[in-house]
Amino acid sequence: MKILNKIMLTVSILGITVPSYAASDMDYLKGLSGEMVSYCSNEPGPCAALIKAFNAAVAEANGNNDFKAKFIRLSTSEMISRVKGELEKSAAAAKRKCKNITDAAELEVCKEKVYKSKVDIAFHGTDDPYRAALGDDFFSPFDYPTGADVQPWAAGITKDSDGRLGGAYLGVLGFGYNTELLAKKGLSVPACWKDLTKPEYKGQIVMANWNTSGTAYKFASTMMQAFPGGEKEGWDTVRAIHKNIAQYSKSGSKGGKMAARGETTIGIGFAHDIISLKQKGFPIQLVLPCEGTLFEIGPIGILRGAKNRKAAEAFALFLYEPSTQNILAQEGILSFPSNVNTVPPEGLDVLKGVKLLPVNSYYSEKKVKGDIISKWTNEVFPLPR
Amino acid sequence: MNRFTRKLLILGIISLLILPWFRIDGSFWSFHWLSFDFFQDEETAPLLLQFLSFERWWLLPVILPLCFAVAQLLFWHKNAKTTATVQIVSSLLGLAIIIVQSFLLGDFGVNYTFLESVFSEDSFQYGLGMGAVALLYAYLLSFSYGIALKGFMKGDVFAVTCLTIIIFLVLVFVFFPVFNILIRAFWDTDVGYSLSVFFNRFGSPNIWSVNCFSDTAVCGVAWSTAFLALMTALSTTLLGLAFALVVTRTNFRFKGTLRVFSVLPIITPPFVVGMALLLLLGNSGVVTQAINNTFDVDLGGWIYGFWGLWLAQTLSYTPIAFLVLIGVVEGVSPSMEEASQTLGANSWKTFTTVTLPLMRPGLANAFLLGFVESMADLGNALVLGGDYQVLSAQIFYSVAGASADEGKAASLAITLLIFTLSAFFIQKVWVGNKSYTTVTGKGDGGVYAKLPRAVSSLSYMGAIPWSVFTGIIYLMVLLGGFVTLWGVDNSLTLMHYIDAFRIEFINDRLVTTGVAWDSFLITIGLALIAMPLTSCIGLLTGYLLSRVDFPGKTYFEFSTMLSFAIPGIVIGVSYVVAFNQAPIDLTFTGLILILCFVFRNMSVSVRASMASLSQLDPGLDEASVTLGSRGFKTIRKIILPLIKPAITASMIYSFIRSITSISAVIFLVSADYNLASAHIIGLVEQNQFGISIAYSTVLIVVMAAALLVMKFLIGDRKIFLRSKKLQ
Repeated sequence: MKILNKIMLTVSILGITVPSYAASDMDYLKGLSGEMVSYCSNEPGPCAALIKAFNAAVAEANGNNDFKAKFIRLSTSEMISRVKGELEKSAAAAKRKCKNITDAAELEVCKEKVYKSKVDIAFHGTDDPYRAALGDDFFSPFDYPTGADVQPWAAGITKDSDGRLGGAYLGVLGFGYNTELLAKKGLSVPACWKDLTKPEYKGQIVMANWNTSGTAYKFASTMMQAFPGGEKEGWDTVRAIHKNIAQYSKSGSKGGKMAARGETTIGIGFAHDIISLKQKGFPIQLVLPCEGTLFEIGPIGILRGAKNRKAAEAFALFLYEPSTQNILAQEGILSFPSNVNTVPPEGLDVLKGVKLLPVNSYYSEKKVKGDIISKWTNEVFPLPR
Repeated sequence: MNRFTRKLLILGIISLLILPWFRIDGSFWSFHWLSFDFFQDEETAPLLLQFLSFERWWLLPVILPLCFAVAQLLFWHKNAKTTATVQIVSSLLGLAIIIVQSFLLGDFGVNYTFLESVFSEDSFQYGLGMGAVALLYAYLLSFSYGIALKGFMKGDVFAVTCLTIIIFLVLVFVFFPVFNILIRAFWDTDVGYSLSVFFNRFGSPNIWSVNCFSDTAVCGVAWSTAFLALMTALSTTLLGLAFALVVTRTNFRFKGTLRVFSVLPIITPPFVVGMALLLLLGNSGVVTQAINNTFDVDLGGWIYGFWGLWLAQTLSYTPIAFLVLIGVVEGVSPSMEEASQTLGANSWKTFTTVTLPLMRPGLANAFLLGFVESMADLGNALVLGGDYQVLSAQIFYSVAGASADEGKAASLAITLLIFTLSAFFIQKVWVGNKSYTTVTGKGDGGVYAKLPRAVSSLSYMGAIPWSVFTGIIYLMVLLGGFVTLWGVDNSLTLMHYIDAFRIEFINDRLVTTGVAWDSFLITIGLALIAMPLTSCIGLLTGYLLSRVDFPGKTYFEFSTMLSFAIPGIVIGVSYVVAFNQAPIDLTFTGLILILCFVFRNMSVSVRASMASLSQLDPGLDEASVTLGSRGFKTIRKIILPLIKPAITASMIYSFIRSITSISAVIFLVSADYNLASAHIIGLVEQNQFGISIAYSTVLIVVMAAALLVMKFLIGDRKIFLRSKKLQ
C-alpha cells in the first residue's frame, strides 16, 4: 500500500474562536475589467448572492461598472464532467506541446499558454470530484491563503493539491433521525454507524445511491476507514446496513429531508443540512457517529488557460473574506467557514464534540473511487433486502 | 449565364471576399464585421485576406475547385455530361479540402506531430465561420446539381439538393459528435483502443444478468429497461388510439376537454409530472395519507420503481401517440369502410379488417416513438426510478455521477442503441411495403363507419378515467404554485409567482427583477427560432423518405432517428466534446442550443410527416408534376396543405420539446444563454418546490397559448367528405 498523505485533525480545529474581525481593504479588486465566467456548484441562491456581492465590491473598488462576473450553476459532478469535455483537447495539446519541458515553472508557463478555457473559475460544491479531476490537470496553481487566518483543513486541501485548490467551507457527515417516528415505532436511539446495522431498523434508513452522489461516496470512504477491521469490516457493515435501507435516493441531501418530513426514520447526510432542517422546526435530531466521520470541503479552483485570470484570482481571494463567507449563512447554508475570522453560523456548536477521521487522499484517487463504487454496484446493491 | 451559375458565383465571391472565414465573437446578425477594421482583423477577416495578410496559405486550396467549377460553367460549357462530371469532382474535392485542412490544424496548432515540419510553429486557426458555411453550401449545391444532371433521383434538382444538405447536416451534427463519444466504449487509458475493453464493459452481468428469474436478485439493467419500454409503448399506443377514436369517431360531448387533457402532459416539463405524482401518491402524498388513515394499511413507497415509472411515462408519452394517431385515424378513408359494410361486413369486422389494418403505419410509428421515448427518458427515471434500474439513468450516473466513467457510459449507450435499432427494424418489417393510401385525388364520398360497440366502450373506458386522472395531477400542480410550503405550511400565497416574475418601476422604467425572467425570455426565443427550422428539415426529410427513391434510404431513415434515440445526456456531452474547439467552435453560444433542439427533435416531425404522407396517393403529386409544377411547387401547393396536421404536430412538438428538454441542454447552457428547464432543475434540487412549480405553470400556460395560436394559424386540412358537407 502506498504511503498515505495524511493530515491529522483534532477536535480543536472546530473549536470556535472569538473572531477578531478586521475589514481588509481588498486591494486585489482594483483594476479588474471585462467579464469573468464561473461555475458555481453551491445552491442557486448562494451562487447568485456571491456573484452579486463580488460585482458590487469590484464596482465600488474601481468606481466604475467595467467588470461583470457571471455564473453557471451545476452540481459538482456535472460541472466536472463538463469541464472535462471542454478542456480535454487543451490537456492533450499541452501534453504534446510541453512534453520537452522539465523545469516546473516553465512547464506551468507553457501549459498556461496552451490551455484555452472559456470559464475562469469553479467554486464550491464538494471536494471529491475536484480531487479526482486533479489527475486530468484542469486546475491551475495559485497562491491560495494558507496562513494563520485559514483553518488547517482548508490549508490542507491547498497543500494536497499542490496549490491547485482552495477551500471555502467544511461540512461533516452524519445522520439524522425523526424523533416522533422513532418514539412511535419504539426504536432505540442510534449513536454509532454500527447501530445502523441492527435488524430493528429494517426498512427505516434512506441514503443516496453511491453512483449518483458525492455524499454517498463520503459515506463509503468513511466506512472504509472508521473501523479497526479496516476495509473488510467496512464492507461487512455496508452489507448489513444495505439490509435496512428503505430506498437509495439520487441526491445526497434527500435522506435528511425525508427523515425531517417523516417519510423515513433515519436519513444519512451532512450535518449542516440536518441542523438547518431542525432550525426550520422539523422533528429531526443529528447524530455524529461515535466511530468518527469524514468531512467535505467546498473547494475553489482556477481553471487553466482562464481568459480573465486576474479576475479569477481576485474572486478566489474574495471567497476567503469573512464578509463573503457570511453570505452563505445568510442564504441558509450552515457550513463551517474556512477563515478563522468568520463567525460560524448559529447552531454549529454541536459539532464541537465530533470525532473527525483523518483525510486519506488514497480514497480520492479516481481509480480507487471507481473500484469501490463498482464493487458496491455489482456486489452490494443487487443483494436482496 | 444560367441561374445556377450565377448562384454559385455569388456564393463564391461573398465567401471569398466578404464573410468572415472564422467564427466571430458576438452575434453574426449584428453585422459589425462589415466594417473596414474588421476586414483587417485576424479573427474576422474574410478568406482572401486570411491567406494574403495572415499567411494562412493552407486556406488557399479550399476555394480553387469552386473557381474551376464556375469557370467551366462560364467558358468551357459543352455538354451536360462533362458539366456533371466536372461539378461532381470539383465539389467533392472542395468539400474534402475544407474538411481535411480544418482537422489538420486547430486552435492549438497542428493536430498531428508529423505535420510539424510542414506548418510553421505558430500557425493555428479558429473555428469555422460564416464564410466557410457559405463555401460549403456552394460545394453542396454544385455536387447536387452534378448528380442531378447524371439522372440521380429522376434529375429532380430540388430533391437532390435537399437530400445532400440534410445528409451533410446529419453527418456533422449527429454522426460526428455521437461517433466521437461512442468510440470511447473501446478506449481505456491503460490499454488504448481495444475490442476486449469494449466486450468487458458490454458483457458486464450488471447489464445482461438474468438472475431475477431464478432468485431474488436484481436483473440486468438492459432487461429491466426493455421491459419498461415495451410496457410504456403498449400502454401509450392503446391509450393514444382510444383518445384518437373517441375524438374523431364518436359523438362524445366533451371532445374538446378530452383533447386538452390528452395534450396537457406533453406541455409539461417532465419532472413536474413526477413531482405531482409524488405529491399525490408518494409516501406523504394526499391519496396515500388518506388511504393510510382510513384503512390503516401502510402502502409504502410503491411509487418509487417500476409502477411509478410506468405511470409517469404513460402520462407523459400518451399525447405523442395521440398526436401521431389522430392524423392517421382521420385519414382512413370512409369509403373503404362503406365498401366493406356494403359487402355485408358488420361494424366489428369492418373495424378489424379494414380500419385497423389501414392504421398500421400510425400504430407502428406510435409504438416505436413510445418505445424510444421510454428508453431515453431521464427526467422520470431520476425522480421516480428508486431502485428500478434503467439505462438512461445509468448513463447519466456514469457521465455525471460519483464515478465519472465515459467508457462505461458509452457502452451503456451502445446497449441502448441496439434496442432502439432493433425496434426500428421490427417496425419496418411489420409495416412492410403494403399500400396504406386512402387520401386520393378523387375525393371521398364516404361517411365514417360507426365503431363497434366493444371498441367504442373500451375507448371510453380508457380515455375518460385517464383524463380525470390527468386533471387531478394538474390540479396538484396548479395548487403547488400557490401553497407556501407543501405539506408543512399549506396557506395560500402569490409569493412564488412574484419572486419569479416580478416587474418593478425603477427610475421611471419597467425593469424585470424576477429571478425567472432571463432564462424565460432566452428559452422562448431559442425555442421559437428552433421551431420552424425543425419542422422544415423534418418535413423535407419525411417527404424525401416517402416520395423519392434513392439508394441507402433505410440507413438515411435510421440516421435521422439516431439523435432522438440516444439519451439527451450523451448528446449533451458529445456536443461539448465535438463543438468546443476548431473546426467547429460553438459552446457558450445560443446557436449550439438551437442546433441541439433541431437535430434532437427533427425525428418526430419526420415520423409525423411520413405517417401522413403514406396515406396520400402519390398520384396527386404526379398529377401536379405532369401539369408542370416541379419540385418545390408541388410540395407547396399539394402536399403541404394535405399534411397540415403533421405540420402542426411537428411545430408544436418541436417548440415544446425545446422548452422542456433538460438532460441534453444541461451541459450546453451558459451564463448568457441559460434555459428555463436548467434553472428549474436547480430550484428543484434546492427543494424550492413552490417557485419551481410556479415557473413550470407559467411555462405550461405559454406552451398552451402557443399551441392554440399555431392551430389557429395553420388550421385543419380540408379533405372532402360527404359527412361534413351534410352537416
